[in-house]
Amino acid sequence: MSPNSEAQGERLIVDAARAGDESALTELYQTYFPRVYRYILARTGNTYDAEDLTEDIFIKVLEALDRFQWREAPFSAWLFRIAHNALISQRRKQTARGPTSQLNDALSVDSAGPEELVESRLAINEVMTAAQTLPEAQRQVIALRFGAGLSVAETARAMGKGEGNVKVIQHKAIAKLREMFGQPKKRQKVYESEKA
Amino acid sequence: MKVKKLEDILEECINAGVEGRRTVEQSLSLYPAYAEELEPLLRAALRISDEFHAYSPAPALQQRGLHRFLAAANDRHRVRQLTSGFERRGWLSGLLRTPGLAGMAAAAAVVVVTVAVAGGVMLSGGDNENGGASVVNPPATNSTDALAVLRTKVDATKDKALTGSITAQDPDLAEVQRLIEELRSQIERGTSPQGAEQMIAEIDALLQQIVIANPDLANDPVVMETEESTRNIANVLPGGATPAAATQPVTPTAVPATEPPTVAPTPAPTDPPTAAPTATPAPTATPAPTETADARGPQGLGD
Repeated sequence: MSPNSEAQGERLIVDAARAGDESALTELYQTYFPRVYRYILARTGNTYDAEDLTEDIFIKVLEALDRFQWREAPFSAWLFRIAHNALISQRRKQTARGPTSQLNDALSVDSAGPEELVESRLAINEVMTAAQTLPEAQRQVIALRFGAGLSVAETARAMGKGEGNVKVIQHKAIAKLREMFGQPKKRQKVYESEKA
Repeated sequence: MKVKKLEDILEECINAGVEGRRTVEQSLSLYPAYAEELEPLLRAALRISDEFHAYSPAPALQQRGLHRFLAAANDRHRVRQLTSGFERRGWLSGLLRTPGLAGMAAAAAVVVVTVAVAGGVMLSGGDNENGGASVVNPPATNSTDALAVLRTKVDATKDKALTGSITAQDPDLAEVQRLIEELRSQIERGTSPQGAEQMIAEIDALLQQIVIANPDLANDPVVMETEESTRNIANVLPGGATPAAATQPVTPTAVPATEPPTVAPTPAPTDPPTAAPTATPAPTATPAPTETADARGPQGLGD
């Protein structure tokens, strides 16, 4: 399917969802829920937050859906701006409450056996931990590109930056993460052997 | 010929790798001059991508979220149906042509329904021989005062709604309705209060919460009977029937929906609902989503 027809298809779905069509609402939800979840997970490193916030974000999306306008920003960019704003709001609340627990057993890994599950948790902990140390813009690009699965163009729209700028930020972020992965850790050993 | 920058090449190779179109080696062979620098970055990027995509929300969580999402959508749809029903009324069509008043009109309509449905008594007066809500408090002297009083009452009602302790017969709710009416009439007389738009949005949000707390409200058959009641309210509008007729206590169950109004006719029963498309609650009270993705206000995504 070409990007244009994909965009057209999404437009039909979004418009139907705005009119209250339940199947369109379901489709939107199922398309974006895992992506929003991963985005929040990438930003917070906390599954409890990711679970609660992802649900809340969809209620906010619903409340704002009537006001969404097809201008220049794609729907995905608009949706992830809502997600970002919700995240900021939640952080303000958390600052008052104090920090919550980090990655936990509630993580669900697709098609993973017990060993792979443990390995994956170690891996995502490392990625998350590393990502948390990045500067805000780099962390945001990583979360949107790899967590939410947005394209560079969509990421640029969501962040209000140019595509060239996003590519530069992405390059720097990956280089920095790679340096962190390169530091001696148990997981690195596994990864190097996989690579070999 | 324009030389590709490393970040462009990296992006292209990431996409090719994530989409499964090329292996790392194939990408490196396309850019041999960059291979040494590109390889570690590309492998790191693909690793990050793989690890993120290995994680999905638990199916139960997703299902629970979907249920909540659809329930909220359904509630919103009911509210919309309810308010659009009132937008079609003749007495409202004139009001809806007043800029900025569409949301307020819809809000007023829902308050009336809320009070009438659960209470069975119109506004706060019920059988008050003095004419019900119109004499509960002395009217505010101007639109700014009216707005301030309205805000206080809305806040009080909102607090109750938030704690789930509001009832449709709540006097505060009736008072909100009375104040909306008062404000509307003042605006129609030519006063243009600042802050009315925001008030509309707040009242709209409040009413949605109330209707959501009473999900059966939108489909309740008594709603139909309250059509007559809304016409009675119309009679107190400037240009409508005499206030004395309008302030007679109305019991919705006593006036079947199919009967014509027992008081003076509606101000403009044949008016087309020209303003209906703009009558979505408070359309101008919040910025366009492309500029502000959250009703709270603009917050950029960048750093």
